[in-house]
Amino acid sequence: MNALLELSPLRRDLLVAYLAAAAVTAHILEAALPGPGPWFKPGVANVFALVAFLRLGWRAAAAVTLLRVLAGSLALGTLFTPGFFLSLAGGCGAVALLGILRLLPLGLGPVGISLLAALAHMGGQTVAAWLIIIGHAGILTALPWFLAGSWITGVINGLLTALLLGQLDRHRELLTGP
Amino acid sequence: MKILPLLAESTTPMDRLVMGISALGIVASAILTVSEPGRRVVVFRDNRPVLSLALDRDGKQEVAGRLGPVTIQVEQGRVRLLEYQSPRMIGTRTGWIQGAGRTAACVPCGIVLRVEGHPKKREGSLEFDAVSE
Repeated sequence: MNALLELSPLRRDLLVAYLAAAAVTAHILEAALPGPGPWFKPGVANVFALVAFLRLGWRAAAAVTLLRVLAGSLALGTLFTPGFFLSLAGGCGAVALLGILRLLPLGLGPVGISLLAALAHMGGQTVAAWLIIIGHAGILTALPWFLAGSWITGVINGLLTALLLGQLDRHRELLTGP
Repeated sequence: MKILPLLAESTTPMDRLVMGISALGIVASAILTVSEPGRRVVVFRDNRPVLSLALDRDGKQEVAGRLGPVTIQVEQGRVRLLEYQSPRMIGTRTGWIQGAGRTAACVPCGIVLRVEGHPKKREGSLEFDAVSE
């Protein structure tokens, strides 16, 4: 399920761009939707980074995540605001975890990877909020509740990733070319 | 589409192990952070305490945030933060908080509320009924 695609550099870059565009769109739509609570987003944008990780590798996932945070914040007018730094810290946490996972042959599928990445994303955001913005450790008392939300969204996004990978693999010839 | 068959089909044994261990870890940490009832709320502006209110006295107090006034409302042992100028109103959307250790924050305003337990049990608590800058 986790086999990387072998693509020409041009096709690879195009696929990264498509995934980044989809992630930015999801990022903007999620910001516009009313959330069930503060700091709680479905995180569907991360599905595209996971697809990039599982089919193109860690560098592609990092590119999709950073492009999503930068372009999404630019489009929303939140560049360099506290929300941008929280989003960046979450993205960096998830990408760092993916970097560790690629070195460890644990036999994880999309759901396990998505779950761990979601927890790392929330951990990164909370630590950034503590160190950079709020300045005291009181926020850590709410961390288990944030992580519970991330657990749910991580599993759901993992299932979405598995579905998307299934579709992608069915049309593999469109990506790899003749 | 059934979720459970999809979950069984889309997960590896390692995925299921990670799901179980992480769920247990989160539940355990949530149990550990369940706190004593709150006795008072301390309001921080830019990480400095500027106001302390007892939670057994209903009322409202205004503090100056970076973006304008922020109202702190105490009612029936709970407290909430009402900002008016914050772009996303995250602090207001946090709603009422009451257990010791719970926080609500309006980051753009630089205002953080922290509920504290019994003053004698917690080091560094402010030992007065109400103070404002």
